[in-house]
Amino acid sequence: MIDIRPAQVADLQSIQQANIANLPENYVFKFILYHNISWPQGSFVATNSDNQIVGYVLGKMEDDEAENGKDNRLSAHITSIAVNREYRRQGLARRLLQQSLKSLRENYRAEAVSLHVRESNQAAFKLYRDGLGFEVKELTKSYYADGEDAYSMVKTLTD
Amino acid sequence: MPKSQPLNSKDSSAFQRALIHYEKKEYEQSLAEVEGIIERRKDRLHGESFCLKSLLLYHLKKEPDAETLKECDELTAKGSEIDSESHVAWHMAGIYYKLRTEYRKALKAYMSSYQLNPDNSNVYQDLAMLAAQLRDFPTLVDVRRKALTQHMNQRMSWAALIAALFLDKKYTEVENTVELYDRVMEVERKQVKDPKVDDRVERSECLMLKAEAIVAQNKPKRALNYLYTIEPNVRDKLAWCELEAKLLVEVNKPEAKKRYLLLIQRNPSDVEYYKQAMKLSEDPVGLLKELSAANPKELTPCFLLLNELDSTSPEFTELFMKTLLSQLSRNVLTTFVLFKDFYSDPAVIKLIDDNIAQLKDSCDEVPFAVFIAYHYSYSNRHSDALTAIEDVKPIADADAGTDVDTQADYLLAYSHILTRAGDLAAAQAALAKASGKLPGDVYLNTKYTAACFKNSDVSAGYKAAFRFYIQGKHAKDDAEAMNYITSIESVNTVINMASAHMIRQEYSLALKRALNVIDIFNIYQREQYDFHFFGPRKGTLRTYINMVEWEQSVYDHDVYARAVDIVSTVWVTINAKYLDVVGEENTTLGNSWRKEMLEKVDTKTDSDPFGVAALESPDGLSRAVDVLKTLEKVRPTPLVYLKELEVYAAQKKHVLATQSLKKAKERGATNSQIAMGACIIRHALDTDDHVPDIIKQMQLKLLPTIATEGDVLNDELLQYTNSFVTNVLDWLKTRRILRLTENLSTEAAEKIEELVTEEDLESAYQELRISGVDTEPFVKTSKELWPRVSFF
Repeated sequence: MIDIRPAQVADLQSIQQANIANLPENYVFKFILYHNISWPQGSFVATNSDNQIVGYVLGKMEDDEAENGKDNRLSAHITSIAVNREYRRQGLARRLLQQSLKSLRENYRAEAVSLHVRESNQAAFKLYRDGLGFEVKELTKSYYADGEDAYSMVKTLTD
Repeated sequence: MPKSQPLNSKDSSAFQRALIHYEKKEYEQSLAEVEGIIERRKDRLHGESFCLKSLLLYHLKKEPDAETLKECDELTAKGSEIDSESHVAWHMAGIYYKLRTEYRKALKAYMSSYQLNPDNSNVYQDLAMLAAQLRDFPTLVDVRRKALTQHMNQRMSWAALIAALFLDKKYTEVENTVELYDRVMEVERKQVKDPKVDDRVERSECLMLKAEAIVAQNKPKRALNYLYTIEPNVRDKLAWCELEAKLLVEVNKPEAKKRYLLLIQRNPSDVEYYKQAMKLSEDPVGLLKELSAANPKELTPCFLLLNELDSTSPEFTELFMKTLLSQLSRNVLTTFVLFKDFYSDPAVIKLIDDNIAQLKDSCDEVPFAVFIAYHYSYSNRHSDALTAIEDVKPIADADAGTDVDTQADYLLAYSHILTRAGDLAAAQAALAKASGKLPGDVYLNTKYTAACFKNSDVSAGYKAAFRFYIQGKHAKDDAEAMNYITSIESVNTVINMASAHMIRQEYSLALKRALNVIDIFNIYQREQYDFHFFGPRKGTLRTYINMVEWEQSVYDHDVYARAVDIVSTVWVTINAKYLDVVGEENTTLGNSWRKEMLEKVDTKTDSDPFGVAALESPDGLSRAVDVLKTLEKVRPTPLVYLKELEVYAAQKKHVLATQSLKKAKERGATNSQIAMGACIIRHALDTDDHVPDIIKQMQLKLLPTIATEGDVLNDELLQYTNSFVTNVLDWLKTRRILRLTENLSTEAAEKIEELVTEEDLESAYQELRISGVDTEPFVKTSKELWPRVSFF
């Protein structure tokens, strides 16, 4: 049975390993701890019955005006999201994001949220655009270290 | 030790200049001043200058060598001793020990400085951070309070004191301090009127922490009333609602159930909310039915309902089959993961066995085959599982017309079934194919990497592990990629490397990787230091407090335990010289990966890239004790004590070995394990020519009181082992350590049916390999029973 709940400090090591197992953009533990202590309510995990983390989302607030963009809206950002392949196509990413966005809005009054997605990751792109209402802001050339372009996507958050 | 004489005015000015240079990181100029001062003194003694010189020598070298560190240690110790009345000397000593991560010594030095000059605010922050790191909460409170009295206008000082009080369980003071701080913030808000000053999140955190402080005093009614008063000012609505629901339960209010139902509405996938609502319901089954009907797309209430029903009842059968058929009809190949939890129940296995035809009709051929293969595999019918999944194997071929995602999912499932059947080579091949189909999929590559290491194919494993880091330009070659993997703290991969090397008896590399893992855990622990400043500054007090509390168990992790096991096994093995290990390993130098690495490796970044120096380290066994002690603090299990026993026996520390056996017994070690431990100690006593007779006699008297089954004193060890070490793996290990290896492989083959799992079989095989015996009789019998097992 899958459980989706707010991330706790005790989950962070497992989140770090889930990130390394799923994505090429990785973070040291100290960064994940920093992320969690800065915006504790923005991150959620999906666990299975063995209490293993099978999916996670790390959400945060943008730090300064430059990150908040020209319209100067209070903006949140999805730093990282992943679901283990065996658990994909079960709606976990959508549910994780829904919880994170709601929480970022409540806690930090986020007015918008942004994220980046690899141009080749069509499944995720469709989820963000069609399932969750994100819009493409721009295609950022060579955003990733390996040279792949990224869609920069945004969504307005309301109560 | 003579004390320093005061400096004359010339040297006093020189010392001030030295401090200024130090602050500006002009270390060479600072050192020149300090050495001048020492040179000019008749007795060549000046404690403060010694302490400063130590810091300067430390900073002047990018990575201070052992000789420099020794000199620094001596200067600091001597400097703080001869100027023991100088808060400056102690402050510098504290900084030095902190740099060396000797936190306890650093705390002592900072405390001395603080006591000599309580008004020196420069030491507060470091002292507080050290106290927090060492969980010395009374000191933490003391220092935080002092800092607040000097900086009443600093928000961080308030937050830091509140956190310290909470950690020290001074809950009434937490309440009072939050109240005061709230008033201060109120005044500040009115005075500043700066729209940019938004303290609402910080305030919300303090208010919620106060509520938790009331809860911690076991006053749920008051906590609940307080919670209602702060509601408009709390930003974390979820935490507020969760605490309200919890407190309503504690004060027996009927609204509690409604609150949990609201929480379920907010997050219908949080299992805990359902469990609480069920506890509060007179008809939990009815409640789950209602919730399931209200949200048919959400599986959580449905699975909880299935858990509540009798698995032999018609109601269970109907709901289970309906849910399973509905999920299978989505044609998702990984549907089984949702139903895996039911496989401890024979009734569910039978239910599926009885309804295979119906399942077949509900979905396409491939999802059905994959599901049924999992079904057989999880009911330990591995041959049937392989037949089922191999029936549809052609879909994974390039010209099958199936999309690559489905092909990859199929191969992922296939590898899982193969692994469970023990065919590690085929599992690796299946994942190689899957990863080849979707070369950009990191997860498939991770799984493939793990499969390579599980199959002991280290060459392919390293190549796969490095692939994305080289492609992603994080590393230019294998050597850099290995450094990158450890620098991003990929402990799961590194421990798999260690295990693979261990199986291949490549002890130096096994040790190297296990030590890499241990280093990473030490980093996890050490790096929290900075957060004792950052946490209070950020104001997210509840999370910061969680971090401090969680950090006590940072080493309580399976990966760390595996690393400790490898480290201690290697050093004990080397010490006992069971094999000519280094000679054995030399034969693997022909391994092409290692040869390649040897050419590229940069010994400047890692002076011992293959762990050879670590392997030959004379203090290996002492280091093994250190890591075992760290593990023991968080996992005082029989296995840890038995491992300690082995190391102590290897060190000929017989009294400590016997104490470990006693502790293992107290913690619930099995009779077989106790007998094994007694044998190891007895053997160590018998083979130690230098043990004082009194110690030997005392231990020999003690042993039968611990290992009460059988008489360790009078029986021959072989007879004792065969009679009382009843678990096959314990027995093999005991025979190895006792060097009673004649006919071991044949005798092990006779006991083979006692090995239940493929992992046990593999462990037994490894024991035989380390014992250095001919494994053929064991392997032959194993293959008759486990035809697909590939690790031999």
